[in-house]
Amino acid sequence: MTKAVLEIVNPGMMATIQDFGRFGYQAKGVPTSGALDFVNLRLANRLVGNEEGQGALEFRIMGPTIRVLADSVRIALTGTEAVIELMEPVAKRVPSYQSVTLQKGALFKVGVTADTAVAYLAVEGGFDVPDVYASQSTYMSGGFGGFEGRALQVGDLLPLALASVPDRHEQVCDAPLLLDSTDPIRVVPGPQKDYFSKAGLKTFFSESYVISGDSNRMGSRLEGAPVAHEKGADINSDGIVTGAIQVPGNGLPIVLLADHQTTGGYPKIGCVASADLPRLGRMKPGCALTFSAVTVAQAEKARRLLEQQLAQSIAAFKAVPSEQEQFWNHLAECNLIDGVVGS
Amino acid sequence: MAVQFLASGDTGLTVQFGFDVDRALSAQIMALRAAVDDAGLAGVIETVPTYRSLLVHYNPMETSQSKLIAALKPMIAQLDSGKNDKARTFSLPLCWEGDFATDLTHVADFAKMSPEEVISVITQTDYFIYMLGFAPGMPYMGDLPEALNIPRKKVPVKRVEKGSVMVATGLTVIYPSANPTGWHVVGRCPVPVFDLGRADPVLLSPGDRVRFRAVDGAEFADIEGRVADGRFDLEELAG
Repeated sequence: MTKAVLEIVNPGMMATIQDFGRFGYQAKGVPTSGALDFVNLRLANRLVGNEEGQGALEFRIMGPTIRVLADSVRIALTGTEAVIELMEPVAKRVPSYQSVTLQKGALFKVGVTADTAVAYLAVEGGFDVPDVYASQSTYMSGGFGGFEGRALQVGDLLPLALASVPDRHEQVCDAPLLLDSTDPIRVVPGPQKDYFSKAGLKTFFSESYVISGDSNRMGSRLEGAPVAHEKGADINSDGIVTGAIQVPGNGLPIVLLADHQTTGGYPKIGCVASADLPRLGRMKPGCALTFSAVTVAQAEKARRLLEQQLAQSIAAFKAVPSEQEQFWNHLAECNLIDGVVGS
Repeated sequence: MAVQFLASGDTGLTVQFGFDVDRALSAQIMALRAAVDDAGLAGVIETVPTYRSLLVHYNPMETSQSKLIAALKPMIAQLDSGKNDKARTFSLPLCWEGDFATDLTHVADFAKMSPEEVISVITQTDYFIYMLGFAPGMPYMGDLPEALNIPRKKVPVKRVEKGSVMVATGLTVIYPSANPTGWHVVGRCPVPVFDLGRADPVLLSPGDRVRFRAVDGAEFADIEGRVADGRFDLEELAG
């Protein structure tokens, strides 16, 4: 029996397995990790019939090329305008936000994602990799989680939980959450906003910043106007949430992302509202962004709204007719059947 | 000072007790941590103690900042910072022979002591673990006597080895893995503070206590060997 695996022909860029992250161990210094864009992780999983937080493949800017070595596998790509390019057995393009079932031997690739920094490829049943601290998320700096604690490499055989998938209609998401507004990223000031001068706070909430190329899953470094401190740039260490914005001595903010360390010694000017973390996660190096100050209550309300929109998007999934059904539908639309019957 | 509730976005509430590295402060933070963990409040995901604060991570879909503050206030009013039932004491081996203690002479010069005297102070200190951070399993331990309050290096070194025991600013850390550092290396511990081969990879917890025991190169090699092939029993570290 051949193993139920996906053979990585080309890993693309920084392809790692990510789920919602690793919670409950931050007091031990273990970062949460998890998907940079939880909205698209959830949509990808739902499209293939998984729980929303199942581990999926997250990749950055350049997608992977993969050969299917399981009997069959159902996959879905989200987070990008790029398509699944099926190369073998037949050349075919499958749009993102739609599931597709591939048989053993199929070869497909996901090209460059022009529109987003991260995209997700979910497989029905998920990957057969062990939980480390109750999560499949890859934490590369620590070398654990996901597939051998690292990004995928050429030749990796990524094990699948299911050797084959049940036959059923594919699903399409007609209304994905594009989150493509250029509105400011909403930030709750604090916990150390008092470490910054009035002028520094004004700079941060009025200037435009650009995401530096020196950014990764740990954090996005920002280029732009330096933020002035008032009480210095060192504090005795304090806890950190995902989206916290540290400002070190050079005044250039760093937004901490999924792989951020659990505690830190730079003052934090604010923390990104959780509703805007997926939008931030989608921004590529070179993207410009601005920040606006919101209250905690406003941030909590924004998150509830995002969850409502996500639930609506999922509720609006449609079954994709099978190719045979599409053929008959097409005939019916052309009125050929009536014509034949009536002749 | 009065306890302050500071927003960490809409997923974290920072309960700030002060600003300094101080045992009395830490005892209050640990006591609140125990109280919050025991209370099992709806929506609370986990709590992270630091020198100055307790960060309560929460799910904004299950609770809110205002609900949390309302639940925490009475707990803070009744804090019993005298007890920490879960605290353990560890006796950790420390070897300063050979090239394990690359900065010991520098630290000794700073403290106007001999290297032997520095090690003597370190091994006679009852360390308290204030917090874990920087990397999985890394303990921030205090407090060294004033004489050893050496500042961090101005220029960090690019790599020191896993297990390095390092001092700076009155505190001591043990590196879980090889990393850059600005701290001063005074020895090496052969028992890893983070080891994925163990049932719980992280050895120490905030609130635990540590006492170092000087070992020679032969004992270091013996322990390191037994750790490597899984024959080392953590019970040996009971202090």
